[in-house]
Amino acid sequence: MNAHAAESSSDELVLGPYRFRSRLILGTGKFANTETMTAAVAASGAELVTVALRRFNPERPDDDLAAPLAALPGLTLMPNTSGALNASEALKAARLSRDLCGSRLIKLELHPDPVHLLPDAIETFEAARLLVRDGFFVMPYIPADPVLAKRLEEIGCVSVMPLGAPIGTGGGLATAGMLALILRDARVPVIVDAGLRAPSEAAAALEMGCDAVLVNSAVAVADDPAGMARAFALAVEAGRRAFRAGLMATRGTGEGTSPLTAFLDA
Amino acid sequence: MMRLTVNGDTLEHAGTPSIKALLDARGIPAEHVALAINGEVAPRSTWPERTLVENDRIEILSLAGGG
Repeated sequence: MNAHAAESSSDELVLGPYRFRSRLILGTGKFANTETMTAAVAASGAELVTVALRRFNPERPDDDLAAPLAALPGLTLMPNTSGALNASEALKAARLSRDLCGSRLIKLELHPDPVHLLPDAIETFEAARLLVRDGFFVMPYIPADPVLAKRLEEIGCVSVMPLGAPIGTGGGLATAGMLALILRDARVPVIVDAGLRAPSEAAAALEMGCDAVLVNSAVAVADDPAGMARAFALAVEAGRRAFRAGLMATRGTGEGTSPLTAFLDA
Repeated sequence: MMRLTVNGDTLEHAGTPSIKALLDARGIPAEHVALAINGEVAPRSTWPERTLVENDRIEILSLAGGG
């Protein structure tokens, strides 16, 4: 059992100084339009959403998400460092985001490989060190590597965000075995960040003790994004409740739930 | 007239050499953007006293969807 989860009595997701009741973090990318995105955020009950930075486009001022997100009550924005290729670029992106959002939470993602978008563990570790020193509450997107997760925790990251499968693949909890090892020793929240396709996978992540999940593509490209956002919210709540209730141990042999007394012969 | 590079485009800026004048001239809402000048982050708190100079490279960034 994740030591962090066991210690928390109020059952809030604690990320540095931030506390959230919802354990579903929603990404805001890939939606057909802003209205669809804001409807999905509302339906998800998410209190924390990720955003990216990009060049302001004067021809498409409506692409700017600052105003529509500000109109949703009780939402905390977590900028990501998407687009950064190395630690120094990530630090610059984070500082720009902090200036814009006022949020000291940063989702550190460094995936220079354009094919699989897999995180670069070495640059991520270096960037995390710089960002922690600069006063950020750092949430790094990482390979599901228990050693790396522990090292990032030790240098002050407020959570670790191992992938379930590569970003946007819908591969589910392909890393479940390694996630279990990360959970066994983690003392910061473990958040599955990428690859989830179905709400059942989010429920499974929470059931095994993951503290939260971050979902984007699975909601954004659904036929009904708000409907899928709500489905993920229910799955995350179910998974968390199951984890806290305590799953039964598995057995190698059958054990009946009804009395096996042969009363029919009586 | 002052030559500036803004988000990769070279342009002639005619107003006062302030960040506010540049943003206003391009219809950009100041509260919704962050700036880097010549590769360095230019925090909002430094904008009032910052004077733009010829050939400054300015990146103007806003929030976009992302995961």
